[in-house]
Amino acid sequence: MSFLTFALAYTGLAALSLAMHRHAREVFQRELADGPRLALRCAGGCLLVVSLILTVASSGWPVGTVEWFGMLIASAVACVLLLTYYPKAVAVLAAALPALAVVVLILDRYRAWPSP
Amino acid sequence: MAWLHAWAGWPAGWVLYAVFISGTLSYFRPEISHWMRPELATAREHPDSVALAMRILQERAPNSSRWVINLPNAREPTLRVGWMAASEPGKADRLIGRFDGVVLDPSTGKELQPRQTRGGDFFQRFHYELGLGQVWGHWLVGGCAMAMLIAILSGVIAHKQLFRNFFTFRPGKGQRSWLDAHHAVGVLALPYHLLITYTGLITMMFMYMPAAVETAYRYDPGGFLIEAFPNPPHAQSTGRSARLTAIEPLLQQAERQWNGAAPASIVIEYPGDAGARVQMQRSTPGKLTNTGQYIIFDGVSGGMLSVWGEESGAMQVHGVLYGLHMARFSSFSLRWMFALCGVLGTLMVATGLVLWSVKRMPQRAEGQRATLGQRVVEILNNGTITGLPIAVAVYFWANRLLPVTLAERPAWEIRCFFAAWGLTYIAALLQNARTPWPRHFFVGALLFALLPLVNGLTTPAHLGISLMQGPAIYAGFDLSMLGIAALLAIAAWNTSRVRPERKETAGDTLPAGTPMLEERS
Repeated sequence: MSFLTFALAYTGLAALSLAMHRHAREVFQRELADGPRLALRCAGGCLLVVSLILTVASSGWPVGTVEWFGMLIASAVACVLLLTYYPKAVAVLAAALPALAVVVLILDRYRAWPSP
Repeated sequence: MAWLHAWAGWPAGWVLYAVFISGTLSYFRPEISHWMRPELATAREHPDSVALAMRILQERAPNSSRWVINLPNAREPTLRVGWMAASEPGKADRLIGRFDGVVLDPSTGKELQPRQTRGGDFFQRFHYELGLGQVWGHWLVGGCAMAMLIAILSGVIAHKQLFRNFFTFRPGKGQRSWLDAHHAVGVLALPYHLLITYTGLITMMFMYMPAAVETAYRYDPGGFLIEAFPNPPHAQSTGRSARLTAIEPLLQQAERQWNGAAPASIVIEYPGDAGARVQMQRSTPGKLTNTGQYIIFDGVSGGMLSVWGEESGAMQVHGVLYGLHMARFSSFSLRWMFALCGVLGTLMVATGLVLWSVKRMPQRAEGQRATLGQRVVEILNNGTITGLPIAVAVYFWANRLLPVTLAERPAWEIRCFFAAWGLTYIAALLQNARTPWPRHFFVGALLFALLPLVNGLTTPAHLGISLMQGPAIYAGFDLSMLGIAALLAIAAWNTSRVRPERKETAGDTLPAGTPMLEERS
């Protein structure tokens, strides 16, 4: 489990929620057309699968799947609370979290390089 | 299906609420036990723990037949060393001997004298026994878990718009909001609820479904357990003395065997005898299964004799299901996700209980006398839902405030827990139906919020110190208590909000004793 896989799971679930009319109204104040909704669905599903693959790659199948379900539940709770009380933040975080995770990853990698 | 869901969930709910709270706390059993023994607070991990343990054992119990070393880790940073007291001549059976032990600070080698307490073990025991003893407790909890499995499955079927309402929560809409909250915490953590209920039943499967074992083993459950869960064989004493091999090389060998996982404990049988055996048990992180994995070394030559814990498919399935329930394999972040799920489960049961009584109780106007049945349900709902958090807080308070030298100290801590819980029912009985909700939640919030203060006044590790210099377990514990206090404060605030205008409209009156219910859908 890492920050990146969590961010991907969250963004995936957020995309799935925004593909629903009710939540699109809460976040964007309007319903989305069928095209963007389909795109959000596909992107959401793909992100969840990528998150699963990365988690399994780092923790192995047994613990990895448990971790993935844990992240899924935690991000679903975050999505529901944000949609209820701060709907705008759902979309903002969905974009910001993976970007932040990539930055953290790059900084980490840079620090982990052996100094000459 | 809705009918089945309601009646499978209702009477069991009171028990399940207690099971969920104590189960969630049990994810942190070592941390709670460590916090509840503040004399151990200074202990720090140290790489030379094994050498220290061996030195103590050589000094204290050179003639013992069995040494046990529990190595420190991040969750339990103390070194626990035990030995079988040397048996008297003629009494060869070492299982009858007396067991002694000391707790050490691995970094200084100093012996620590922790206070007497059950610590986190109490919650784990309460989780499946409820203080009713083995037979009654196991059957009651098992029956309720069975009911919960039925309630979950029927709930999924009854909740037709499972995916359409997946992300939906509409607060401030009375019963609609309660239903939304019940759906949300139930559906979001559905994988967890199914897993934990099913695996919980698995942990006691041989008790609940004994027919196969009794038939195959001709009413000899002991014989079954020995074959199904074999323990590594015991060493035999030869009577000839021989020098015990060095332990450090064996540690490295064990780590190689387990792909880098360190041993959690070491048992040395007949140290100093030619028949000595060294048995190491693998630490739990990173492996789902709960089945113990052992390596046995020859205590004189240091050669690896056998490896235990590679088992048949059926036993692996059992071990994994059992392990998933205990979640001992979890890393820090995964353990918190399990705890979050446990909180969601607790909320699911609590909202379910409140919904059940709201829907089934005939509406009655304020001031109208409740029937006996209504009052009983109200008091049980309130005393259980608000009383258990209060009891948990009181248990922690008692741990810090009861005199350290008190006789039967662990029993008194537990008595405080049950007394506080019982008093909540009495307090609910003495108040009118609506008022106890915000009051009791507020009392609970206050008790948890003050715990860091109580800890700061009774131990040297207050939050200011523990946050900056450790011990990290103390900082984590205190912050968690503040978190629980915040949750209870939110509950108190929500249950105290009653819109006065609702009371005036006829037909829209609230059944008394239903907090946060502002209108009927």
